[in-house]
Amino acid sequence: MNEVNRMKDALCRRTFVCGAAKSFLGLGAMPLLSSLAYSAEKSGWGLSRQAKAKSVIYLYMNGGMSHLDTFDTKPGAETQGPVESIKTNADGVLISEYFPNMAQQMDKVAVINSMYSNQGAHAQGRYFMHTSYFMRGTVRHPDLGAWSAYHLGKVNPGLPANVKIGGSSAGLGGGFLESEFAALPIGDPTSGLQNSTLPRGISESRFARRMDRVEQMNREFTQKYDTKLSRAYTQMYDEAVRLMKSEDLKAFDLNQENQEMRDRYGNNPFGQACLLARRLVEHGVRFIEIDDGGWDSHNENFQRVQSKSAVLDQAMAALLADLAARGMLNETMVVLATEFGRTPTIVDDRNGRNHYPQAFTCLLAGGGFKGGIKHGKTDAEGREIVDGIVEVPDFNATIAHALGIPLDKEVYSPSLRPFKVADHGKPVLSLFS
Amino acid sequence: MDSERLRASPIYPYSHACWIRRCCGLVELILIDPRSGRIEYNVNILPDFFASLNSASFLMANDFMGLNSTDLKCCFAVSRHALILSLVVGILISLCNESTAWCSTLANAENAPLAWLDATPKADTSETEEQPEANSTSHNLSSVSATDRSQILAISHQIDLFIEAQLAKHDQQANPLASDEVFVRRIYLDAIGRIPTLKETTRFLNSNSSNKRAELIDELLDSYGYVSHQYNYFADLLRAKSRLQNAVAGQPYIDFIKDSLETNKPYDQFVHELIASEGLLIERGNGAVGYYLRDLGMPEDNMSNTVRVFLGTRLECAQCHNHPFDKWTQRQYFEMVAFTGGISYRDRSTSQNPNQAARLMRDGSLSPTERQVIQRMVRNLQTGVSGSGTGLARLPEGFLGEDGEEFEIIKAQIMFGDQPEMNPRIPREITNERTRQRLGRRQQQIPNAREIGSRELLANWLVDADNPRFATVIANRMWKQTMGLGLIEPVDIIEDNTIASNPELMDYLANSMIALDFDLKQFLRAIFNSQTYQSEAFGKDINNPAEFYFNGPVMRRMAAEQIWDSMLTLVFEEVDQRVVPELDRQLRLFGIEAADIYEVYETLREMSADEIVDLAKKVASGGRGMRAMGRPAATRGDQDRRALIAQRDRLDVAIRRAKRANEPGLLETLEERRLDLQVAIDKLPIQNRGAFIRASELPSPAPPSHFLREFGQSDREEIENANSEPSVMQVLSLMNGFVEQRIVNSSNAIVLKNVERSKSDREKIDTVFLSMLNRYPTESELAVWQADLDANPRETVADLIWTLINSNEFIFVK
Repeated sequence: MNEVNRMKDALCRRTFVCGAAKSFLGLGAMPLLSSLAYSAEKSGWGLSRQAKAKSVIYLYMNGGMSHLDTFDTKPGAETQGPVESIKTNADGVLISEYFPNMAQQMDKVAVINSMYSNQGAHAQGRYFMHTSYFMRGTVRHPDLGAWSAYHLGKVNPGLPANVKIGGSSAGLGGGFLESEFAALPIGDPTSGLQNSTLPRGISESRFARRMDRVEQMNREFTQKYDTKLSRAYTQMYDEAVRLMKSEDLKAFDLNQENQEMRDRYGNNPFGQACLLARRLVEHGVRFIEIDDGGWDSHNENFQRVQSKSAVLDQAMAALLADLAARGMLNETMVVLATEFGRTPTIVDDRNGRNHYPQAFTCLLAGGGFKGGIKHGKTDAEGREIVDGIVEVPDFNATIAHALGIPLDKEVYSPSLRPFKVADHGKPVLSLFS
Repeated sequence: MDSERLRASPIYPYSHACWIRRCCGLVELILIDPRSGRIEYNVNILPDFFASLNSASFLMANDFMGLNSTDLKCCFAVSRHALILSLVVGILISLCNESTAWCSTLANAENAPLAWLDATPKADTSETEEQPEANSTSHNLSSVSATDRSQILAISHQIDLFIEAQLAKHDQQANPLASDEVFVRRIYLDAIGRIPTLKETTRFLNSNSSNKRAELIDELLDSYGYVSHQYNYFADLLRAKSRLQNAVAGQPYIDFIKDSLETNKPYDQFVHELIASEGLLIERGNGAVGYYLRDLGMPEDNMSNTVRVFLGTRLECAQCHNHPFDKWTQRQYFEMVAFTGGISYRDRSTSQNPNQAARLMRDGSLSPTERQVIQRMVRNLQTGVSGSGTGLARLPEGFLGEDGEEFEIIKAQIMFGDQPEMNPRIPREITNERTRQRLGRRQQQIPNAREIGSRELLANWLVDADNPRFATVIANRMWKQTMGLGLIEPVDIIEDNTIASNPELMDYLANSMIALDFDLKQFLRAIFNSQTYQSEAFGKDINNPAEFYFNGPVMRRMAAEQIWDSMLTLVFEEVDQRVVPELDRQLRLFGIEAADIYEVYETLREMSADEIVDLAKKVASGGRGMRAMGRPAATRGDQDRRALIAQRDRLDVAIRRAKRANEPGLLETLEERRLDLQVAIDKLPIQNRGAFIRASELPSPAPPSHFLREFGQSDREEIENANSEPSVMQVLSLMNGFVEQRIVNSSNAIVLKNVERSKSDREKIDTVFLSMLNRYPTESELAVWQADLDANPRETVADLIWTLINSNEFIFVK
């Protein structure tokens, strides 16, 4: 029945008067309830296997990461340009020379060279990658972070389940789900959680006195005006105060890490964000997305990819090594994703590569995935997928499956349309160890 | 109405009952069908009319239908025919033939004019001569004519009658009238989107005018705050964004909405323009095309949105299959889409120059930055809407219905009502296989379709007063906006069997909307003037909106924009002005100095392709100021601001000196000057656009981590995507962030300045309460804070401000 309640909650997300939806439910509830019961019975992929991954660190390369110049190199091909391939600590896995640190971590990584999308514009591609659905004007779909929070809940009740560090104005991914499942946004990874400490000059006793006065005010207000929402606000103050006093707040504070560790990840926003993500996982945050922009290499592709890769290489290699050293890698999945690849043909006049959704590369590491393997293949010039195609919903289904999210479970939007975590995607089972 | 009780009454079995009530100087006459209990007819009659009558005879039935006895009621039997033609004259004269006590108390003017509002469906209001000018601007609207006013008040009053009748039926009472303190806060928030300032609060509370509520309502509806507040609502509804796809400026769309509100454009005309407009987006006056550009490349989604926003019905399910809960089929859906068939998101009227510039752009000699600049210019010079509509659409691949085949070309058909006359012609399909394959990627296109103006026909049908849904939906939305809950909930899932919680009132409001020619301002004026709106709020959970009868408006959390704007009210003077004054309208884009963005593109349009490319080169090589794209660069406003701030700082020194020298007279003069100066500074443009200006003037939507977004401002991705749910981040921001930094610790915050001027502790406490909660403190509150002030004079004012903002009473509108 919990599911039914959740569905109801989803219905009244935007109208705080839940009854609004209830009368509506009176008309439409029966078919819905029965279909829910049905889907729970069928249950599908998710429930039978033991999920290994508990948390996800999702590194998103915004703008479209060139596949040829990173993890799908084509030594000797004309389309490769000047980029050399190097050997790694995984047999038969070659990667670009731009990733010397990652070369020492590839034994932990499953490379998917056969990613396929049909969305060639940034916003649409990004949306598809995050939600498994095409962007529509009529509904916003939740992204993987929100779905994870929704289906799996919090690991640590004192912290949010879903966090997004850095990134675009694309929103917080909650889609039609309640805002509690949307990501908590963190702009600058080094400045901690906004407003979580007492302002300068406010002592704890003064704060306590203020809170006392607020409670007094609210008591009087509540005598006449008392709704679920006004009570929820009162509770939210309790929660916020708890968070302010919480030991877990340290999770957001990079000053708790020594300088050597901070340097190891790279002294740049992306590197520090990766370090923060590791800390958040340690403290029980379910899903952390880190958005790294600037991969849209229409012009001077090689310069740009090289400089972007240097940052990524250092941070991701440090992250994988660190997680492994702490024994966290098995339960923590690290994803490297992007909306599409870049055209194999190098545009002469500006040395650039354009958008290329029909073949690109993403990585999965930890969380129960096999390491040191490559899945799928593109042709000798990196143009077409010749083996093991993984469409975007399949990729997301793979992540969801690893987390133990039931892929068949339908969740209803406020307009009562059913949606699933990865639409019709099927997990790539051969990637699981 | 309670038909059981009606049947038991002495007048049954006469065919109709009439119910008369007098209140607020008006007399209502309502005709009720005793079988259905439905109100069939009602009129409002100005009392002046009765003055010309000398008597009345009717059956008094004070307890009739359990209505409360302060009202005067009568019921009588008439034939339906008699009523239709001679309702006002015949019936009332016969009614009032014998004088009664109440009739004689009415006004005594002779031959007073009769003003009445016909509220039957399909009322032909064009015959009423005193209709307000449909297009009158906000400036001259402030003088609501006497006749308009009586029409408005008649509606207000009628609303109360319907509410009372239904409450009585359910043995409930209306809440008592809200106090002036409660009212002043609520009306400011509902009419102009922020709490009143200290000055505004005390001015209202101290006013002795017997008509002060109505006067305040008029004043607020005529201020720019009204535009700001309503814009926030429509920006959420219409997903207005500052940046459209491909970095095209969204400003014209936003301006269209604001300008329409500012001139109080009738809502039906506003919607008609959204649906039927064509032209280049960036050309002045064409902003309405933003409505289609918002769903660029997705005409199907756009149609779903149109139906949802304006007709309150969901069609999006039928986009992929027949609607599972409603009657709509997938074919019907595409028949609707066909009205916008052939739409193109480029403006055809544009000169060829931008196209040529785009071709030149591919020239290898141009640098990436130069190309980017050209692209930005060209896209804005090309984006628009053209195509008046072919009235044709293609069924989609994998069409599921039995009433068509995939890729079949179908003709436009409206969902309900009379089909508009039109004659779409289905062109012959291309038979050449190669050509077909080439077109395969764009299967939805229909080559050689003729334009027949179907978009205009769609718009005509949509906003027609005979379209039963259009007026109902906007009336219900406005009701919800002000009363906190719709008469129909949800407001945009209306189906055939949907029944409003008060069907008579819903019908009446829809008809009033039509009678008022879709003048939203007048409609709101009518709601605001009702006793129902002015009653104390209902502050309990409502489990079933269908069973809530509006004892008063529903308590709700302020919208994100209301919270933000209210915060600003505590910090700055004069926050309502359309923040970019003339001085700041100077903007520099691509190195072109202009009054606004339209002027920039007018200049660009005049340029040849070569000139565009040359300019782009110059812009690309220039400094940041040159490159600033779409952002106003530093202008004269900045220098003025700095000069004024320097002046203020000098005054501060003088003030400190005067304080030390203990010269109260001089001090007062100086402080007054300082205040004036501060007002002038606050009025000046703030170049940092992340700054503290009203939500409606900030980028739409505000960036994801902005205060506004934290409090649930819509991301403008989905229709009505704002929410008022609590979150830890909000609370943290109120406790430790914004309030502390911007109000409590900002010596320039108006609320602190007002406290500084207070002469006693009592006055200080009053000032904070009046500034923030717009009421005086209670005795016990006064005692608590007085004690705190005694114990700790330095910290208490800050603590009081902090406490009030963090209390539920601040964030909830009661």
